[in-house]
Amino acid sequence: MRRNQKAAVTLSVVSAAALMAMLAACVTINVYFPAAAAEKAADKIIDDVWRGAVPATPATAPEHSGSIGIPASISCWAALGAFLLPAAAAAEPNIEVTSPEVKRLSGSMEARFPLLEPLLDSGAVGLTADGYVAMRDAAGVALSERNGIRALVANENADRAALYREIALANGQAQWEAQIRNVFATRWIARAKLGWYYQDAGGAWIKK
Amino acid sequence: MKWATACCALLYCSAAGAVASIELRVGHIEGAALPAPLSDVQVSCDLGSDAKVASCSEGRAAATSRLSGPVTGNFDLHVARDASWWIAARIDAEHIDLAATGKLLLRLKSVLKPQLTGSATLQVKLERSRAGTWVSSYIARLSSASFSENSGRYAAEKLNLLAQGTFALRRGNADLEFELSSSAGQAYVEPVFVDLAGAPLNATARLQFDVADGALWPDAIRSLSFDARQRGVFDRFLLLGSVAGLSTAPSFTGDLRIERARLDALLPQYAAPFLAGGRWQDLEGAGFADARLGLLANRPTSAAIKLDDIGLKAGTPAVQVDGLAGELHWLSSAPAEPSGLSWRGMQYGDLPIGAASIKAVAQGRDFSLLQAPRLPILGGAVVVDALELHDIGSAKLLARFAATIEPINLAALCKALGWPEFGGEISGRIPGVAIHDNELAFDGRLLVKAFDGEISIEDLRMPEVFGRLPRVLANLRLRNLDLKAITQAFSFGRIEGRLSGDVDELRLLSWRPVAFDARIYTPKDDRSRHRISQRAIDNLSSLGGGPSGILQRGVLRFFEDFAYERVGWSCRLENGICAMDGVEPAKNGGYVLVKGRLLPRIDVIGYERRVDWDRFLAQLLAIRGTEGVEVR
Repeated sequence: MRRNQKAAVTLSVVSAAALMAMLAACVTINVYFPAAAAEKAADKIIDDVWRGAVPATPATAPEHSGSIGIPASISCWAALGAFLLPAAAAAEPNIEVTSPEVKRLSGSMEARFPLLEPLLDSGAVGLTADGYVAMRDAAGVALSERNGIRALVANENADRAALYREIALANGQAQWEAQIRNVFATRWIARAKLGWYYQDAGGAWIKK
Repeated sequence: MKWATACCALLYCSAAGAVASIELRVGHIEGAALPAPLSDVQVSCDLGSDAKVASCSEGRAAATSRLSGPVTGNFDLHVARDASWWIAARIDAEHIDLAATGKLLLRLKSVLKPQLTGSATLQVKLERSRAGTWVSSYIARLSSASFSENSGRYAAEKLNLLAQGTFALRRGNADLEFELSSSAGQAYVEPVFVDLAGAPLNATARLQFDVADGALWPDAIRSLSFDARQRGVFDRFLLLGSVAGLSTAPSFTGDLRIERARLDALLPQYAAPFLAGGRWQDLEGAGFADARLGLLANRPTSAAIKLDDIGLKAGTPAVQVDGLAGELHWLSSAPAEPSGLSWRGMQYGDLPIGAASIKAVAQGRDFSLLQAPRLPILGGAVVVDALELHDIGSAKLLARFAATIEPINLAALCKALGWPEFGGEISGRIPGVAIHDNELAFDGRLLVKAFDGEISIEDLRMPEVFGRLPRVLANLRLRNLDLKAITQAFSFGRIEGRLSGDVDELRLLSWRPVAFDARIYTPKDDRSRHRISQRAIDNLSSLGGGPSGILQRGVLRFFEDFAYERVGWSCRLENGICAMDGVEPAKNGGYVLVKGRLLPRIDVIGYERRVDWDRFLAQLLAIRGTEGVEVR
């Protein structure tokens, strides 16, 4: 089943022994990382930030199961937890992206996008594999403009880092930050315009 | 080495006494050892010899290559019978093509893959003494030289550069002196961009190092001095010391000095690139500064900064300081002499802070105040009782701050912060402020005396105070405020009585509330006169989306105000939605905001339970703006 494949995070982490003790005591509450909901939420924010620049129809979502690096053993324990607990207790929570902090950050990124878009178009800046942007090719950029672009990239990345963190916090699950960043990393690339550059897992630049 | 077949080697001797002339002409030479093929090679000199020394004097040489254009030179060479030799030579190359030279560098296995364009001239004088001492002087001029390499981290465009100097090598000791000046072009060394046309650079340097046998590059520079001046930016930038580990990890020991730096030019050019993306990225400054930094193997050991009428401004809301002057001293491992700093004025957003001065001592990562400043603010002051910082620059930064607040005019403070203007004053004591784990937290509570009552601010914290989203968290306790004064301040319509309240988990983002759980209510033991005016009732009613003006019809219009038993309102704000409630539930699903008393009895009932906060605020502000019709 889909749920079994899905990565799960326990509120109380980490040692297998502790986990087992808790399972035995039946007090573990598994909060599954809602990957599908996170993708939807990411797409919504990406659409807001890249307003009108990207095709409105969502691109095919890449297979996300297994894309989140949780050790298999924990997944097993979590699956066991899901089995032991009533279905309602292990239900997938939604992903909340309406907190004022998240809105502030996506608003700031949206305001920056008109400056970033031509750089993505020209390939001077590309999308990294870990959910950020980076200077890809400075050769075509005038010397006097390079620092402006560096600042733009630094600001965008500071906003993005804060965004991933704030989404995790708004959902009361600080430990989701890395997973949320991973979901965003694939969604930024999936929704990127044709011709933009992105990095594959090995760090090589690929033109979409 | 391949000699061209078409070469023409002409060798002739003209005997004139003891002297013979030799001339060698080769049409074309190429070979692996030569960077580029040479053509039209001509070498000639007068040969002479006596019992001890053979000489090739009055020598002339010329050749042409793709790289350098025509190269000419002259020389005098002497070889003694004991195999010692000495030479004096001069080489001129007037048309060096940098693009071709760049391609040559590409063929070498160099780390950088540079692309060069432009042209250069080179003039070298070379002398080797019989004892093996080399002395040379050179002048090189680069014109319109551009340089770029594949990483994009270093580049130059249309650079005009003059380099001249001497190089001497005596028994393995090298002494290099050079002078650089540039007045046109641009250079980029990540992350610093310098426009040399606007700010010409002059630099002189002297390097002394040992050249070991067989080594191309030295591993250490025994003595280094670098003295630069950039017009309009700084009068002098001086580096004095030594460098070790050049081939592995270069480490500098010595002094770095900067004299009369003009902050308005220095900050955008040399500081802004390093601040990009951070809290202080828009740092602007004016005035002059001198600085000296002592380094031991790249680690700072001492610092002194002298500030002369400095102005600084950065951040949103802007933090600004004017007329900053004084001297700062720091030592890494001993208490430095006291630092003194004074300023004419500061500004936080629209909040002015008056002139003050501080005396402090700094050592290592610690900083503590010797003399407490008094910061005048809006008729009052913040008197700093203690300020200590520990582990500055590390994640463990620990700050301690204690201050007393002399009564500050609250209306002016609210105005400066862009808040509704409350009357009253703020005073109290800040027993402690600590920054720990990137969170700024106030110890104890801040007491505000306003509206004849007390507002205490508790658990005031700023998490991620240096982060992307500075936030303020606090709990507020409002006790026995005079409602009449409040409603007058907001021109809401008069309500008489007392008001208490609790605002829990208040969260401000950019000083605007984005979340809280608030209740305001008539205190239980309130014995004061409870009256509410027609206009206040009208406004309350219209705020809740109800009808307005109903009281002005019929018999009720003859009453100026009405008695009430208690008022109350609560709002839990979350994600832009305020969940509202009143003092108690009303019969038909609403909630009571004002519970009337005596006759004619007026109850104000609210029905909307989920209200858009921004719209609610807009309505509230609209009410403040209108005069309304108050029945008298």
